[in-house]
Amino acid sequence: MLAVLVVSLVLLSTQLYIYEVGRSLDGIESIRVNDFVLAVKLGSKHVVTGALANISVGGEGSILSANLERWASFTGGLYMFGKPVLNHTLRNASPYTNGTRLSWGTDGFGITSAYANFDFSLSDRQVNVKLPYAVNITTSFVVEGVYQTLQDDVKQINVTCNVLNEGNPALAENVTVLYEDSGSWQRADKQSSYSFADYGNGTYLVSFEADIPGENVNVSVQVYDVRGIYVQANVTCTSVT
Amino acid sequence: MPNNRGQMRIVEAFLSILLLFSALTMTTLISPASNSGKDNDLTTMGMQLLISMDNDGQLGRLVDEGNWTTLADALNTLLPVGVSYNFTVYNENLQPVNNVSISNGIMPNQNVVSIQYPCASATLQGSYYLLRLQLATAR
Repeated sequence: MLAVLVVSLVLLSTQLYIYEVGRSLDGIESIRVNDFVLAVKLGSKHVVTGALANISVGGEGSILSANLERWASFTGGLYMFGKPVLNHTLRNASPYTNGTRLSWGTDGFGITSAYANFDFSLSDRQVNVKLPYAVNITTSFVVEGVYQTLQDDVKQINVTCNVLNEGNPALAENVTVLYEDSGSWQRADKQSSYSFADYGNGTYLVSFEADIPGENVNVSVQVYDVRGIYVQANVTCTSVT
Repeated sequence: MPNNRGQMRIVEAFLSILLLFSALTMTTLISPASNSGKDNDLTTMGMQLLISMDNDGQLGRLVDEGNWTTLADALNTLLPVGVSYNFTVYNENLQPVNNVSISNGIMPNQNVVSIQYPCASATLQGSYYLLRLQLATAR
């Protein structure tokens, strides 16, 4: 009788212990999967950003796909409870080509953008995750220019520039303004009258005086945002009195 | 005599039930679930810290620059008092990158959790790292 009692006690205690441990492990695993998915998603965004910065300064367009494949391969071997699979598709619908869009116009609008769709899946003992998501990194800006003739060909030129990241106002790392003088482009900051105002909300105002013959005053603005993505746009300034 | 033996059986049965109930109660109280809950909290806190640092690319940038001092300062500031950490950076080939210790000293006999975080830096070439953050609190 006593022996039966002891055996029953051991069995029940063991069962209870296994139940408790198993239950807590399920919780830990669920947390780990969610966090891992979030880390992979964030990483995908950074990979696209870095590749776009590279392409915007003249890098090969193929680097976007190559870097994403490297990222998928790297993360694929890091999860210990199962095999994560990350597939990507670069957007090829107009205006994107191989996931990128560089549109640096003469109408005062410039855009540098990348777009990729992802399919993340992870299956292990406890969970089965399938997560489609998209990453769109876009740096754009709008330039407006006005000028006033001061004397003969000397003109006062004001250029206003609004920088956007994913459609929201964003800071620029560097803003360079050039103007066209008799067919060649000159840096505006070489002029002694050059002034640069940063409003802190993605709006920049550049003012300078230059000796430009004729009525057409063309300016070109080149911007690097804080992520290192380059974008440029040209505009013909309008005359004000 | 047979009546006395029957009474003893009943007493024995009652004692057995009492013993069984006591053992079950003790097992529930000594269950390791409470400790796992604490470890879960520490793991979640560590992951949230890394995710918030990585959200704007700051984490990858610091690692890319090898700016271990700023990284340690950030961890010292963001982690609560009483939490020890040890931070190790591995490159894409899983070789350690940080040549100095990024830690405020994990003492023996502490509850330690280990968090592994894949991180991509938004550089032109793209660099990928595995970050291992070990967190510990006193038992």
